[in-house]
Amino acid sequence: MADKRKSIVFRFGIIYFVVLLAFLAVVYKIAVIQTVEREELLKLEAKSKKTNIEVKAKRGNIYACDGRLMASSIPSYYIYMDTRVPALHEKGGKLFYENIDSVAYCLSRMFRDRPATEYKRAITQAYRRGDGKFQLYPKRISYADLKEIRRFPLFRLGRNKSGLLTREYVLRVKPFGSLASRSIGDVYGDGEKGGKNGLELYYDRILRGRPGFATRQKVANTWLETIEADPTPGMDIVTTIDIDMQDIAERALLRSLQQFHAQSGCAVLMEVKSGEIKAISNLQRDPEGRYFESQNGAVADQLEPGSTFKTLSLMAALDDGKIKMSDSIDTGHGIFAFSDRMMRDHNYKADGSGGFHRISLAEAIHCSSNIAISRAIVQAYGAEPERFVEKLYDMKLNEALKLEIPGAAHPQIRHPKDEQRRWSQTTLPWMSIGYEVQIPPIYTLTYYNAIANDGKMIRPFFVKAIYDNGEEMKRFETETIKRSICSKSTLVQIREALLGVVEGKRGTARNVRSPQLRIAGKTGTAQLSTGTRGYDRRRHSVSFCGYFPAEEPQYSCIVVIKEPQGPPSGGSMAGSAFKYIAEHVHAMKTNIDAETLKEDLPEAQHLPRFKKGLYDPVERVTSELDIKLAGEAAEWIAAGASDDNKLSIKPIRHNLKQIPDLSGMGAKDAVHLLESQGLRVRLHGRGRVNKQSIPPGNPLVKGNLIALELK
Amino acid sequence: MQNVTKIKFALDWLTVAYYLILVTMGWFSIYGASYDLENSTSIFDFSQRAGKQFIWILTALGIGGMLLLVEHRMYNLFAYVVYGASILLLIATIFLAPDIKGSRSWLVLGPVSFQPAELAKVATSLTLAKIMSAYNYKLRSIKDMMPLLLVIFIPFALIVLQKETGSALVFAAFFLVFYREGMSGLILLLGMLAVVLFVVVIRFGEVAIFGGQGSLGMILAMGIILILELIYISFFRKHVKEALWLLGGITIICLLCWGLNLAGLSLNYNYVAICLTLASCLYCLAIQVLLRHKAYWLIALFAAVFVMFSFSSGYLFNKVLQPHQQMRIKVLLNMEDDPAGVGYNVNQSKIAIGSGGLYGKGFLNGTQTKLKYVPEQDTDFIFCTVGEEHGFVGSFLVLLIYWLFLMRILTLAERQREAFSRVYAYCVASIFFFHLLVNIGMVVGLIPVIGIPLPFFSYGGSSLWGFTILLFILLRLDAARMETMR
Repeated sequence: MADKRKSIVFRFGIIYFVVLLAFLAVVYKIAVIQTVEREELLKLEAKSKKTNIEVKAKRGNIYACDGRLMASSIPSYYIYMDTRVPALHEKGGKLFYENIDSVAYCLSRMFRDRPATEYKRAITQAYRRGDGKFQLYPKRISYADLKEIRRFPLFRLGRNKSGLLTREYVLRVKPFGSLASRSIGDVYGDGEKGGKNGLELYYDRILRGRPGFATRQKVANTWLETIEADPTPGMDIVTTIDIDMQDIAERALLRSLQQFHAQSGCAVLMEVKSGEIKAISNLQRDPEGRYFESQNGAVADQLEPGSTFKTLSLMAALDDGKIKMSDSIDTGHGIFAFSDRMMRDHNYKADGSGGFHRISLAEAIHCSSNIAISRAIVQAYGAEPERFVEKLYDMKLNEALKLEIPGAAHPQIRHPKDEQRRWSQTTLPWMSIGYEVQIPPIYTLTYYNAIANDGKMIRPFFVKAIYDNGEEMKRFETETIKRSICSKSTLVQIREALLGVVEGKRGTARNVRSPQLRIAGKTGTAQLSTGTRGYDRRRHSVSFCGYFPAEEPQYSCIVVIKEPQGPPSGGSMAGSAFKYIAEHVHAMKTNIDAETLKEDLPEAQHLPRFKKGLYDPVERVTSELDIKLAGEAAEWIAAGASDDNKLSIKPIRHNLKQIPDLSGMGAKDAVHLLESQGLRVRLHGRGRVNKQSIPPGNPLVKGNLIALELK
Repeated sequence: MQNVTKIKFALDWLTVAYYLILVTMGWFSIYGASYDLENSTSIFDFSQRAGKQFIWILTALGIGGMLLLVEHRMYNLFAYVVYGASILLLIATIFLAPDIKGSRSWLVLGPVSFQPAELAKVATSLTLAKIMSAYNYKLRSIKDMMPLLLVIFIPFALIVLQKETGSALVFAAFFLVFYREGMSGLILLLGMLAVVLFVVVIRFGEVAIFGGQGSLGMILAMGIILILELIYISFFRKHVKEALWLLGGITIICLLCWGLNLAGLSLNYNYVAICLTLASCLYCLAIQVLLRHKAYWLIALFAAVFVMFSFSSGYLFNKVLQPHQQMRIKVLLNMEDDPAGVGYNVNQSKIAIGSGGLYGKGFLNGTQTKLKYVPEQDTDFIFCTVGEEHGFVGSFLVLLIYWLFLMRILTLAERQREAFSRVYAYCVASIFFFHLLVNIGMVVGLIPVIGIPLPFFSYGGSSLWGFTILLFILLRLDAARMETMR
């Protein structure tokens, strides 16, 4: 009995000991982990973990004033396949081999770049060699395509089973291409850095949003990203740019640049009352003779304005009461010596037959006489040039405007007391005609806009509002710089003079005169300074700055053309572009109602041509024009022959299991019809559908691509 | 009513206190493990795991209370019935259970899933207790053990069929009970020897020695067997002469081989070692026959069996174990570094514990576990949350409470007057011990990854209910020990 008891105590002791030992082992191991192994474990942790990874926020969009998209970030994807995922290798690769054929077929059908057999061969090879990142398609694909691919057999099983990997790239896209592209700006290819120039840079902080943070941890061969703080998407900005006016301005500028083989040029259109920049275009010629948007010369060029400045000189003197428009000045035969330097008028001829002789100051503006303006200003301010300069300052001509374009230049009108640059005897006369001062084109426009705006000088601006997710965060209002730059009477005289430039018999811009509207403005021609070496007689910049319609100005505009070929003329070179802009913008802003149009419809009754398409729009147009429709109405119709105020129509019924006949249809209707049936459409050309890549009557397979040729 | 008062008086409240402390700590750890830094939720949020665990805890307490009200003799009386029912349930589970992460062990009843294996532990414990407490039952020979082995083997096999190898291994814990009840300690030692040989052969099996003509693992294993023979013969049997002869023979053969090797003649040393050990068997048999020493044939049998075992270890490892199981063992033995794959869980859990330091990062401040780097962090790997947030001090405290809890159960076991209660108590202690050792051992990297829950800590109603039932039946039996005396 005692023996049995001893045995039990022994056994109990053993069990007790084993339990204790196990616990001690665990405690010991924990201590080891937390002391000896700790360093190495933390190192291992750091190695397989990346913290504070920036998660990029979606960049805000840039819109035109009417809400049309001008710049947007669109995600695109590279697709890869990780052929090493365990699921593809289980059971001798059953999953892989069962699906490879259909995957290859789907990829081939989707991209149409390689036959299915080729896809199968390439993927199988990658699978055999254990490629962890096999690129399935060499180009970036859209989100819609990616969604489609995620529905493919195998790939629909998800990333872990199929090994489908994607890598996102964000592209900054400008749907209107080069339109105002310089002012909108660009972003760096490497998205991190954000805006590079233009509004993209100026409003970078707003567009960029706030990045979030994520931690990446290596989990079973792949990096798992855990977002710790969500990014705040960037806000959208709505610019003042009007796409249609921008288009007009760009076309006008391009035409003139091409015509005169000019080096570069810019055109800026501003709304008189609000200060909104409706269009801004900067074109520059590349060595091959093509023009493209490059530097933002309109705001960044330190340019001597030349004759456009004369208006402002006279305005100062008029306002000070030093002169009257009717004052007459003898300009002789076009040459006059100020101190030791000769000033010439543009019609000066060496034989003495040129010159304007005695003219009034108003006429001096019309014909842009250097001598008349300079003499008048020297007479008025010769004794105290600082009064002239200070008057200009008072008119805020030397004020740096807060422009939203980074790298904007400021006007520089030097003061006689300026220590840095010596004020000479000839400074005042030459300054009065726009030399020895530097004024970027947009500033000149601002001053002329003030003239058009009854003397009220306002700041030009590019961004109307900032929106956060559809909600208006900030609206930029018109900002007045100076309530009135001169007295009313001065203004009336100046405006009269500017009208004379276009309409007067000696006007330098008589060609700008338009039958459709009255234009007022001033030409400018300036020799380009070569810096220290004086002026280059062969290199000029010509400009025209003004506003329209002259009676009740709505828009002000400046066109500057640098280094045109041939004899420089502000009127015929820059002025013609100005006229084009003014006429087209005016036409655009003039609404003609259907009634007027009907009256204008020629007697011959040429009915508008109707494309095959939806019934509703055809009905709307014809009813406005009092044209009757003959035939059966249906959702889709084809318009046939027309006579006697009647348009015969024929209904079309689409069998939606087959590809419809699209010939003669407009692009909008064709795309609508096809995409609503799940087809993907690619368009070429413009006009009506001429050819379609899948002939009518073929079975309609959702997701297929159909190409349409328009003519 | 009288019954309730009696139980209240007789109940071992200390164990109940340990139970409540552990369950509460577990609940907070689950809250910590699934706590989201960004969207913090209440610990009572029933859509979250902590909130659900709270419900499990309340229901477990209800179940525990009900078990206390059952007449204690019922447990003895219905032991076989419960066992039979649970076996039927296990069989049914194989066919009815849906595939959850590769295992078919969960019965899903509406919103609740239940693992019948948990019930099988209770039923097996009761049945073992009943068999071993039978009048005149003595555990002396292999024959006495047969019914016990059968009782263990049936649920074990069924659970293996459900692909829940981890839960099945728990049934090995019952050998501790057998030991307490009289089974020879030699069986445990031989079991341990088998594990050691297995590890040696696997771990060093691919380490080539003697110019690639032998593997360290096999030669080491044979060495161990020979040394154990020598120790037994010389120290336990005190047959020094026979031992010396054996040692001499071994030495001569080793020298011979060395000589041959120097002479440039290469042999397969694995086979030399195996043949040498088998030769020692013949030597022992010869002693048995010629010198008529007792039980030498057992030495021969021992050596022969373990030679066979060592020889087939490699096959067992490569063919019987599944690839993921092989990998878990290889990772534990440092044979393969697979931080991204199998070793991932263990590495991450070690990192979590390692980063905790002495005092930990503080409640709810753990980042490793929060960011879900540790898979299964609120079930099987819950202990690393404790290590990270409460450091060494916290882990030690939890281990201490577990240890006190186990000691308390062993104390309860030894104070029982009825064999049934005692055996049952030992079963309970063994199950808890196995779970603790394997789970925490796995989390700290002492034991290969075996997915079994940490009692009272791991998230999940099934295991909490199972452990609660196990414990409260014991408490009921213990409360009755005074009654049976009268």
